Amino acid sequence: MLRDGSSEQFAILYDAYSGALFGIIKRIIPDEEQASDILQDAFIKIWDKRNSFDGSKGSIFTWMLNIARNTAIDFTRSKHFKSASKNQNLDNNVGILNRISGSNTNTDVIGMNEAVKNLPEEQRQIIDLMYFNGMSQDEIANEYNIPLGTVKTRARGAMIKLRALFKVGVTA
Amino acid sequence: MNIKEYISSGILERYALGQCDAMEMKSVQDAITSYPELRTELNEIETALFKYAQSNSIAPPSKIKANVLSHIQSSSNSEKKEARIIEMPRKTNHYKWIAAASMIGFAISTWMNFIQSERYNRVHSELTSLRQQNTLLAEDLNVNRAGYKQSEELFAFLSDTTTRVISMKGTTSNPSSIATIYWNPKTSDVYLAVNALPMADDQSDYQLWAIVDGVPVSAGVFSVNDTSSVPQKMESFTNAQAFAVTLEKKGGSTTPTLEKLVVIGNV
Repeated sequence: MLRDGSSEQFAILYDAYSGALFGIIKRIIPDEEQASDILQDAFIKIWDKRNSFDGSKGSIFTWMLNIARNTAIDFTRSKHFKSASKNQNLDNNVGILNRISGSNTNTDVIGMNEAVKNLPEEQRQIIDLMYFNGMSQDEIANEYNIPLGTVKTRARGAMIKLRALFKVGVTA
Repeated sequence: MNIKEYISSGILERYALGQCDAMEMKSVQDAITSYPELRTELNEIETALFKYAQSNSIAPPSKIKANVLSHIQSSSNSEKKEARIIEMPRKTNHYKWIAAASMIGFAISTWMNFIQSERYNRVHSELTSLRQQNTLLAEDLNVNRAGYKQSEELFAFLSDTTTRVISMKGTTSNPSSIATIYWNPKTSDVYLAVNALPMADDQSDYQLWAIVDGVPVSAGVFSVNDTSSVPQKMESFTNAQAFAVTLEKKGGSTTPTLEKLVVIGNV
């Protein structure tokens, strides 16, 4: 009885978060088909692990994001991914650094993207690499040859801007 | 703790961004449990990040949702029930902000319901298992109570001044065997404690006899085990001159096999 209700609620949950998670997965796995498979795997894992979610440790979305991101990162380490898209992956990383906000993201939330344009590019890159690609600040500093101190300063600056940008409206 | 300093250190941001090591994570979790202001602060950070992620949304192919739902229904439910796919209404650009906002609110409350129902299920099954445990403990308690009552009765019996203690000594062929009879002629209760008897083989049982006016009368069959040293109740007698133990065929005999006499003691 309750189980039935849960799966219906899960459908609503899917509607609310699948877009954001797919955006993040596609950043790590650009191939549409492979990214779709990973999204599917991630949601199945989320369902399987639903009892281990602990609301006292952080938000639902953070928890779901971690599962989705880890699923995607694990996949990039598989043979299948490397043989299929090694070069693409390199291009993708360059792309992240060169990308101007909103160019290939969902047009469903244009209002938000406008707001995000106020975020300086170099701050945005750092947030993206940490939050979407799951990289540590050390890894970013090494990979992109930026001093660790600079990475930290930009991350702080980005968070302050982000919070100011998204302060209005919705409570969660 | 200085809350302001803690917040401005940026550790909550790093926590939300997954930049903390295990030790830092633990300390943040402890801190937000102790200080509601820190939890509020973390909520705001996570909300800002979520909205940022939302602004980078890409709509996944629609078949994925159907796949996910059919998977979870087949795995969690043996009943045949079709996955109900709820299509979110199409929105015009104007209302996208509001729609997105209300959808997030809805999703969060839905998720909370979902978590609550999961929690309810968990609590319910915990309650069921606690009830079962409770029943087992109550049964244990009854067994122990009965044991305690028996011990008390035995103690009262043994300390009764009219209870006689009869030591049954080994015969010449069983010199090391010994057993004790506690007999109260007034209540007629007879208890037997095995002090030292060899284990009987599979085909044999020990049998206690009371010699009543020169005639051996069976007082019951017993075996030798770990608890044999504790006095066990045998058949009752108001009159007896001696007690003896023989080794008999499995289940006992009507008359004792005298050549298999093991121990004997006169009253």
